[in-house]
Amino acid sequence: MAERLYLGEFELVVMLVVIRLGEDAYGVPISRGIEQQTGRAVAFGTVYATLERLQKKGLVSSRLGEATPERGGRAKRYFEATPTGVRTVRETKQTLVRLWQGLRQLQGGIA
Amino acid sequence: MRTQHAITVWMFDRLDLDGALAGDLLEERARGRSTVWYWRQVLIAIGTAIWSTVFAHKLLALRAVATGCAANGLWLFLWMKFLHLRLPFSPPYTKLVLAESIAYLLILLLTQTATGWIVARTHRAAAIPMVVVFVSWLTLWFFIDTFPEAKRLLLNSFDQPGFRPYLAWYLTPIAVEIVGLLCGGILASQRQKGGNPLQASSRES
Repeated sequence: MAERLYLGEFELVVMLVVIRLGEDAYGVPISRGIEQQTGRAVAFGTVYATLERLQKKGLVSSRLGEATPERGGRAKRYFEATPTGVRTVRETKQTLVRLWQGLRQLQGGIA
Repeated sequence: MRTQHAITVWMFDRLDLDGALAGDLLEERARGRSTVWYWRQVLIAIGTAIWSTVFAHKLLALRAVATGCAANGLWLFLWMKFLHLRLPFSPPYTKLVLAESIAYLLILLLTQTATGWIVARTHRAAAIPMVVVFVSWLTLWFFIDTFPEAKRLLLNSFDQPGFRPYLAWYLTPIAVEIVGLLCGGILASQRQKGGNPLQASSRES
């Protein structure tokens, strides 16, 4: 039986934004996506550290893209969710939904 | 903006941070982000990288502290045996004391550069983070060791400007040590084309 992988809150947010962006997922749109979706400012360094951790877990893969003059000749690093990553996000959602169900305090839109 | 980027790339290379991150920051800067925003992002990226490396390699960090202490122990032994220089408690007031103080601080700078170099060379996989660990430990030790004096000078310096030169003089040796250690670490850390061995396996897939 494969070892179960767990996602922290910020890891889950990053994974969801990477999946949402698809082929355009590199540092800038990922960070902007997180800001837009969560309403909180994030540091690029934190996003990269999280992506590196997810990559170590085998949940995302990366490839280098094109280098442009406006980036000082530095290539973009594109990230993509791996099949294991997508499965882990799905399992995390199922776990959260299970935890949510039957909680009267969280029903009716008032916490 | 190009100078800022060059400095960032240089620092990121030393810490083996992803070059794509430097490109992302420059791209955002070109779209109108402020200089403060840019440097805040750079500092957070550096801090996060150092913390992640140290957290992931705690034993290596302990070894770095032990290595630094051993090197400094050797310098202290040689200093006590062959040199009889002392740093005065107050800022130098005569030319002779000033010359002695400069000699003291120069030797301190050289020995700490050597210590930083040794720590970095014996921990090549994460040279700068390990030097930073030793710098943090040394700074902490310095203030714990001299806490009453540090507290007295700091509190008095707030409302009595006359104490400020004494506070500056008190902080000079630790500042010289920090500069020396970091210089030694930077001198010893070589840019690794293949990336940090501790991180390289995860970056490409």
